[in-house]
Amino acid sequence: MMAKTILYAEDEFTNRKIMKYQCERFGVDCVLAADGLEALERCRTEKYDLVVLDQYMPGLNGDEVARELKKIRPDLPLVAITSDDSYVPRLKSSGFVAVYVKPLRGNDYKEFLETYVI
Amino acid sequence: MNRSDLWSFYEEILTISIRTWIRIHTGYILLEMFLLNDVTNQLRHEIKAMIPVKNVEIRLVSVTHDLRNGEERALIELLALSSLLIGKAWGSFILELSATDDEIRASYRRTGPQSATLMPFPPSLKKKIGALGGELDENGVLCIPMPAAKDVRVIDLDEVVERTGLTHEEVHSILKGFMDDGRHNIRILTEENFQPNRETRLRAAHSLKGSGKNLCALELTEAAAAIEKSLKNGEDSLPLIQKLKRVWEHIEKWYSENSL
Repeated sequence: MMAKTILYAEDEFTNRKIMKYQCERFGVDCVLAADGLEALERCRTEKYDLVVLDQYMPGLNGDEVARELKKIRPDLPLVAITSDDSYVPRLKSSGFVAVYVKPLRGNDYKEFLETYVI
Repeated sequence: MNRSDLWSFYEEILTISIRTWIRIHTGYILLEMFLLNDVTNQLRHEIKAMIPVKNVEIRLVSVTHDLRNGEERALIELLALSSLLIGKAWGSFILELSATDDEIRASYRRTGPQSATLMPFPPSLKKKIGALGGELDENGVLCIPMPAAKDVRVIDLDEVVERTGLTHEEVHSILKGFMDDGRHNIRILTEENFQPNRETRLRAAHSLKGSGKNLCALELTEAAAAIEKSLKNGEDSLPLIQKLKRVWEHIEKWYSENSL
């Protein structure tokens, strides 16, 4: 059975590293994108079981990437992560299946990996 | 420019002048300047509330490092009381507050043409000064040893482990990258010869805030968040950047002692 794969678009080092470790725990491969544009490009050529988008990124923000992804992969589940909780309602109405506010707890990773990937 | 802006501008000029004067004439090492930090705001408010005389002019100059060790409450009360006495005697005054790693110094001087004249601290407050471990020097300047930082964890790795469920080894492996990224972002924000655009500075502050949150580095998170906010609002972030530099120095020191 092939390992499940998520794409995580995030430009900040510690978030990327923590996500990598969390995915390893659940046997999930984690592909990293440094910004929204890279995430879009990867989704055009690769298949992922889940895409996790940071909201504040260089180039395109998470909600802008989500809008484009919905056009090319409407069934792909998208999770948003933001440091600003005032963004949560806006992100929830932008097509994300779940929105988390930083810093995430161990259970947050478990929750979306078990719900949408495993 | 409204009255409030004018006052801020005037206050800033005054602060810079006095800071320069202090540097030249006394050789204080003034590590940071927070003109409107929490302590000065609280102090200003309390002094104004305590002095019943109208038309008292108060120019509060704060040249201080971070007085957040819990002992600032007693200092504020002492300065509010001494300002009350000075205000009653002289009407208007300038209160200078400075702090180094070793001590806090507070002094009063007259306003106007006699502004070079120091006004001795009210001697009736000797007991209260003694309770803070302080003393008056030969010019009547209040000197209090800087309280040692207590219960301030620069980076709380145990908390990170508890929150994320990662192992200590995994968290330590994140630390090095955190330091490398942090140094780069600090350089973007602090080096005078390196002047990136606002967006780059904003991202650097945001990144420091985020990584600080992830590693439970409370002081870093707060300092970076304040800079991010000031950049978003188009405000002067220079005093906040001075604070960030100091916080980062603490982190470097902590890292040199705690990295595996």
